[in-house]
Amino acid sequence: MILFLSLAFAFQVPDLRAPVMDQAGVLNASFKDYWTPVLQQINKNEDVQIAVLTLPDLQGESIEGASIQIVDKWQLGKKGSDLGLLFLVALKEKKVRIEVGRGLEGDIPDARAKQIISDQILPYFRRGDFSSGLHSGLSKTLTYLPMDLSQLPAGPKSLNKSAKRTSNTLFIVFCLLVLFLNRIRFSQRRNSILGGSILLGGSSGFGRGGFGGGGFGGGFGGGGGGFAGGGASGSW
Amino acid sequence: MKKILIIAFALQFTACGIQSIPQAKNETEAKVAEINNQYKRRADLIPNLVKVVKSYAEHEKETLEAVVNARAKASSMNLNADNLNAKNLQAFNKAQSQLSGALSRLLVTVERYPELKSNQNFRDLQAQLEGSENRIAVARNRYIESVKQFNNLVTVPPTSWTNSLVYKFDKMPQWEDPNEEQNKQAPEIDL
Repeated sequence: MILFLSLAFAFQVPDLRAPVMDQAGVLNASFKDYWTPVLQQINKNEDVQIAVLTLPDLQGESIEGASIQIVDKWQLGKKGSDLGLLFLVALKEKKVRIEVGRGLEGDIPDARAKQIISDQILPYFRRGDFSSGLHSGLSKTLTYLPMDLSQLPAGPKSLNKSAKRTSNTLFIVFCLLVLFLNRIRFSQRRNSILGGSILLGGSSGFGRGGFGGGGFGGGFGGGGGGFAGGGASGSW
Repeated sequence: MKKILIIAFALQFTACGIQSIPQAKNETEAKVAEINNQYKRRADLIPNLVKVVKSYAEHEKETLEAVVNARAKASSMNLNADNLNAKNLQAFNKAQSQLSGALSRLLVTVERYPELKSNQNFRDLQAQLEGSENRIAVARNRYIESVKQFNNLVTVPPTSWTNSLVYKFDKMPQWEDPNEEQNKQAPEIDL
């Protein structure tokens, strides 16, 4: 009976599908639009693999317990170098944790992880601004990692107040970009070099469907990276 | 045909435990080493912690002394994978639990010293200590899993037959933490 109960209440680890998994639904579009490709790129170019997961609740598990189960399953980072990092947010419990892979414990010792949480993440989280908190935390964390940051696109300065507007702007830019590329392909097929009046003809007939299609085909699987429970937690 | 027979023969070997038993033993020994390692890591933090606390909270002599003594006792013990039995595992566990208790009493006392609490050095040490405790919990859970696997191999047929014929390994002692039992029972009361 006890075994049955403990099985029934065991923490369910979600499948790793993308570097930013917002299961609690607290991150805005500009956060996801910036960090998803950036974290994909880091994963592709470096040994480092970073993932962000927000959960509505922890199903009775502690944040440390949930976190180690998640990274044991996801195995962020590569086997041997173990350069994995997980940013975990639990909404109901008001807890956040940075789980540090074995290979990064020197770059991000526990005290530094704690400092990132208390100085960069929590001030925003206390105001309910999860996107800016994680943005600030991730940006700070990257500066400690053994990799070349100059390759990465510059991040948005702020994600909080103008978040909605930024995301709209980004969306429009994205639509135009897709449209532009489509036009080029289309026109290439017709042996015509000119794309036509992109800006004028753009707005109509282009719905939200554009996002779903633009998935990152490469996938985002773990590479066997090991974790030993390093990192820090905080609550807001 | 001959090849298939050889492969079938080899496969039988892999299922009978001739490989998996020593593999599981090695795995468990690695987990033991990890436990030692993580407890040592915690012990190494304590001198600095005591020093910082002392500089702000001189009056807490007793609590500090308790930590120093518990650390000395715990550090004198190591788990030895070659000679691991329920008795010495329990002794080790007890010494470490006493240190955990002394440490948590110290951290409760610290609540009375706001200046100490806001000291950056102390906060870093506290974060390291928390991290250390978490690593210990992870290492212990992995030991428990690993021992469970090993014990299944040496006690459950058919691999147990191989063990009694070839290796003659004993079961490994399982970790029993009184604190953990309490934690496990807590949610049941809620039900």
